[in-house]
Amino acid sequence: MSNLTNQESIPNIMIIDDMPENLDILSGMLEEKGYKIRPVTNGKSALHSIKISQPDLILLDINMSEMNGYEVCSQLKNDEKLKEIPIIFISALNDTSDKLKAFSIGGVDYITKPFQHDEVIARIDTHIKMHYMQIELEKHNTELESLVLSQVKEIYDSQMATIFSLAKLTESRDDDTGRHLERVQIVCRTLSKNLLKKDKYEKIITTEFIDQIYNASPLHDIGKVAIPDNILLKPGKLTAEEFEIMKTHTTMGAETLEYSFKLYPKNKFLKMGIDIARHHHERWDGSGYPDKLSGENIPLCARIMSVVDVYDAMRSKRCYKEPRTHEETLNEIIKYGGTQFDPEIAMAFNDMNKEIYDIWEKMKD
Amino acid sequence: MYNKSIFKEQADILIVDDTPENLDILIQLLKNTRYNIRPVTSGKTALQSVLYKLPDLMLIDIYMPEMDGYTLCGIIKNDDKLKNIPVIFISAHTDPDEISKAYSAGGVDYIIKPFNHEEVLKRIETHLKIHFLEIELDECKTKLSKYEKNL
Repeated sequence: MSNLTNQESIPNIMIIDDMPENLDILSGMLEEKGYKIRPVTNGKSALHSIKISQPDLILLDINMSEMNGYEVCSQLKNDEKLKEIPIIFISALNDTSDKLKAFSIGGVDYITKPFQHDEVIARIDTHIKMHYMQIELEKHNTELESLVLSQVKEIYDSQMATIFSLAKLTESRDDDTGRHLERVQIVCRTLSKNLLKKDKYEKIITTEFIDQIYNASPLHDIGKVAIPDNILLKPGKLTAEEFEIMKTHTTMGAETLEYSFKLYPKNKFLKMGIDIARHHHERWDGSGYPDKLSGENIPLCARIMSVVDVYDAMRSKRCYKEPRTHEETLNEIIKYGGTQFDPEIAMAFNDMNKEIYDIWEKMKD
Repeated sequence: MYNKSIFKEQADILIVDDTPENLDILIQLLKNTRYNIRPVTSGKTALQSVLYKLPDLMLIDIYMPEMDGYTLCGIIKNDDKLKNIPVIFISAHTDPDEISKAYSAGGVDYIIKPFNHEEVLKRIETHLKIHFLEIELDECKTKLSKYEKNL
């Protein structure tokens, strides 16, 4: 019945009996079957030995001097680490009270003296088989779980890559923005990680938030797809009328994402994408657009995005302007903390400006 | 330790014994469990019943007129569709040769009459667990290979 050859390791069985001749008989039967036997003649040394190395199954004699089988069993069943080891009792034939007690204190079965070869082998095989099947099932379940997880991750990663490509495509209409989106992703993440260190944000900025801002930040300007070329690509200053149209890239972007968000209302990534697209031109003092939100009414992700976007735009060359230096840009950000920018985020930006400078230098166009 | 899903369905147990009083004892014993009990009085009816619906476990008396327990077990173990049903023998015989014969006929256990209730319940539970673990393991393997193909 048991299929010992298929098992990776040889089952290890401990026999606890104070009668050497019983140990001999049982060891003989079981070694012949291919089991590895650990014979012990008293409960105390058995417990000691089990703690060092766990057997797969225990054969335990009930009547032993010093510590009897029930006591050994109780001690094992009270130990979290050892309680799952199956115990088969060795009892005298037809002693009903023995059998009852054996089951009630946690034995899985018993075998009777004088030993019946087939009975002994069958009972042990049964419990060894069950023991190994449980281990195998657990292994399979873990494997299945990790496969599902890796599949979910694969789908997630490919979705994020697709979203990024589309954002990149919309960006390509714009004049030489180069690796703007890649830089913005990384700086947003870096800045968020730094904000996390402040008590105030400890509970708001989670690893999930950091992951989301990394993936959602490239969506900030997707609404620019709807802006006509003569405005989007105009080399000179926009007229008031043109600027009004330009401003709609925030609402257009948000509305596009809202369409998807209605289908997936639990999706926090889309929610953040909407907040970023709509509010990344809001100003701390309430003079921004499109909703003239002020202070902490502006979603945190959009307040972070606003600083990061301005830094990147100032440092980049555009058809209508030359790039500014890191110091100049940093000074502007500090200067406008409290009016244009959230002062705390401007400060955090300053705190880690060296790191941001390095990122920028490494990734500049 | 055992997976919770193991007993999600009511286990179905077929009892074969030609003596109505013996059947009655087992029915009384299993009455308060979650098992569904199907008592039959001969090997022939047992085979019909098994083909009609596969039980999850069988309790078989050894000495029966016409077809004895060994023969019944042998037929079941030689049929690919039936051979996975665990068979537990119940008999008053304590002769080692009889016990040996029961195991070599394909029985997973042998319970000697008069039995104690706890013992019967425990052995049934053990072999049902193994039976359901086998099914679960099979399902798990199928699922795993399906996933691996899709990756």
